[in-house]
Amino acid sequence: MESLKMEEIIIILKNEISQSIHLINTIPNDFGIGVSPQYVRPVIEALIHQFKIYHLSAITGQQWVKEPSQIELIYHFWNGKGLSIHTILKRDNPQIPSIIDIIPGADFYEREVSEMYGVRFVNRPNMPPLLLPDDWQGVPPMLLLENEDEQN
Amino acid sequence: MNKISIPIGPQHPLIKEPISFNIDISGERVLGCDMRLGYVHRGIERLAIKRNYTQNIHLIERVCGICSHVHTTAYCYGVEKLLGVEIPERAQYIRALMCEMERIHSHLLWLGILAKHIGLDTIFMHTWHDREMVLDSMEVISGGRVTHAVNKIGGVRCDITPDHQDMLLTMLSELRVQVDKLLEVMDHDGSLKARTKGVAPITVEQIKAYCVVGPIARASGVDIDLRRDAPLPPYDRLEFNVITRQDGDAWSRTILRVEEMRESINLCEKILNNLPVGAIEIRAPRKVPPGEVIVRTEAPRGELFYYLRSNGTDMPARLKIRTPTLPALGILPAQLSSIHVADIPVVLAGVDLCIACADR
Amino acid sequence: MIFPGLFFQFTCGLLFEWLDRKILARFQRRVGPRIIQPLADLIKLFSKEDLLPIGSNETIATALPLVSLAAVMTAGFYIPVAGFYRSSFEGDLIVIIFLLSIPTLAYYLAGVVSVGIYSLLGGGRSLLQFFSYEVPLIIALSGPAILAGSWSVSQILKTQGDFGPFILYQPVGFGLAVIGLIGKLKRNPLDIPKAKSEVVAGALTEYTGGKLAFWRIVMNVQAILGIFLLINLFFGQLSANPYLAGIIFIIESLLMIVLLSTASAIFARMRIDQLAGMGWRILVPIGLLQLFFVILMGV
Repeated sequence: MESLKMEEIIIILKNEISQSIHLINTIPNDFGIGVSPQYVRPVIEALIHQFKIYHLSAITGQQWVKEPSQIELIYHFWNGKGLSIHTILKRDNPQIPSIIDIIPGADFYEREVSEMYGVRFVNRPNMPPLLLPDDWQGVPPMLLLENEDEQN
Repeated sequence: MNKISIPIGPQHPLIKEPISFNIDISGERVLGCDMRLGYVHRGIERLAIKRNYTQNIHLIERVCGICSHVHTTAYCYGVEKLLGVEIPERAQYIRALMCEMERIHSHLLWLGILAKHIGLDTIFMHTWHDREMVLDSMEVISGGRVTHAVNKIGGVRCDITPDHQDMLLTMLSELRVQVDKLLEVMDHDGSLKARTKGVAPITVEQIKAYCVVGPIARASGVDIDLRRDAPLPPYDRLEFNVITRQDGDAWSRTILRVEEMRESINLCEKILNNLPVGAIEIRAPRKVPPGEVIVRTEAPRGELFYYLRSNGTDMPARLKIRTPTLPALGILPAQLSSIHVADIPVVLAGVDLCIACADR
Repeated sequence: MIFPGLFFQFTCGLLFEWLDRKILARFQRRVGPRIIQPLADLIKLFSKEDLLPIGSNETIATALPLVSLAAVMTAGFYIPVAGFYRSSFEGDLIVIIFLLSIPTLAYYLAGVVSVGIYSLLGGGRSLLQFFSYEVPLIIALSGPAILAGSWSVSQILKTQGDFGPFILYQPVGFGLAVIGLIGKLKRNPLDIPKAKSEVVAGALTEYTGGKLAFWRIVMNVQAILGIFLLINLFFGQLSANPYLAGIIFIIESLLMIVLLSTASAIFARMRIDQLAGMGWRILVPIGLLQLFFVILMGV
């Protein structure tokens, strides 16, 4: 993998999947790719089959207080260097295709993001909550409330 | 034989932290299992954004009791990277020393639990006796046996005096004698091998598909060790061997961890003999400039992943922790199908579950 | 009543438990309990609340340990201690073997009657284990009987006075008998029915209080009587002087207890299929071979 540099990966992905894929370099020592939600699954398939990058470390969900109507998902990969796929979902209806048939290990991560942020992963069997109790009513816990900013 | 379902947990002599399994068995064969986590979920990620960075060290140390120091080490490295400060060399070495001692005591704990579950109480008593030596020396250095509170943002809190150094070196040489004896006993003991050899093998494809990390991956031949691949200082200046085995069954996982213990003892002695002089901390500002950072480090159970985002105030904006037990739990149902009922303790103990880590 | 009855067997059982726990602790770098600890445990158990799950039958659950205790103590009447025995008749070896197996059946019934998944599993496993060790045990115990030409334990004892201890003639039988005894007593490495990590406490999971105390007494008395039986069948009477015979008997008992405790400390628990394989594929053929030699020798 060291032979194929990360910049070349982005060029190949841009040509094959979509021109909207762009570089994000906000995280030091980590190579970020910005992708729209509908292209996340093809990009991950390309990463696994073409570039042999298969180790998914985590799926992070977060909300930026400057844009409260968006939820950002980051898929963190590792193959000797860190590689992350950033994607933005709408807060009103967060949906994204699931990847558990290509990476079975993503099951727990998707379930956690789904119950903490209310994200719906399509094309996967509905499973009971991972960490929250079975009778949890109410908002997904990690979502910021309407008048709440990150500090209070 | 009809199917019956054994509940294991949330309270059971087999597991040391609450997790619930419903294992379906038919006769003496296991058909499958149903798992439920979340009994120890404390919402650490939500709590972390309501506390400032220094208070968070106290919070993060309590994610897990066995690997508490490596959690705070990863967190502190992340915050220091956001601040743009570099801690003195002596502090780096002290952090690494506590990390390696924690790895030793975690593996000794795990070995005792495995031996107890297969009926070899003698090995359980002996390994936990050796573990007391490690915990006592950690208490002499830091004041705590389980949560050490050694790290702070900008360095470490406690120094290692020459007396401590002598005591540690003596303890490590005694421990090395015990670990060598243990390795010899396990190599020659027929009953331990008979219970663990060939049980629940994991193939390399399964490891790649389920993203398993740590000693479980190394026992099947996948050569990943973040101390070598993504070294935090001072691991980039220390030499050590990464141990792998090829078979991937419970026996390989057992022997691999004992050999890793020996490597950790060597590493501790190297660190102690090359401890640089200097300060142990550096003053760090309270407000952290906005930015994001990812820290990956090698906990006793595998790859520990931290994602930290700051927004210019003195409280973090987002903290994401992914502990190495989570993918190991993901592969557990696959391991538990089509084994004997009597092998369930061997498999569950071999995975080295730390449910408090997984639940956060 | 006193000897060799209730008090004597009860006290010997307590001494056995103390010695066993002390030796095990020394293997494990611990100190071990004091000599009155087993008695203190029993007193504590009697003072605890006595519960049973809904759906279990209180009468049967209480009767089972008492019936086992009665059976085991009756067997004690026919087992000589240092040459002294209460009574004997031709064929009492068979009766002893039968009476000492009643606790196993009662253990299984206890598992069934205390409604609970772990109890059922533990009870079932004890029967599975019974089929694997009992046949080698009976074959091994038949050796001395055939060699002595009698099925009465006291008669076997007297015959050994003339010919010498039978262990010299059939050491393999002695080894098989020890393994069978470990299985009968459900000790490590054959404590599969009460493997703490799989079936919590086996058939006795739901037992508390006085009933559990009686089960522990049954286990202890069964253990010490099994040891006495093996000593009588294989070591015989080495001296005519009663005091010397008594001392030798005590020393032999201590050696047997040390043997059993050492085996308990150094092996891991066997799997039930490994036990069944070993029992039928290795132990039974070896036992039959030994029996064949014994028959030849007897002729």
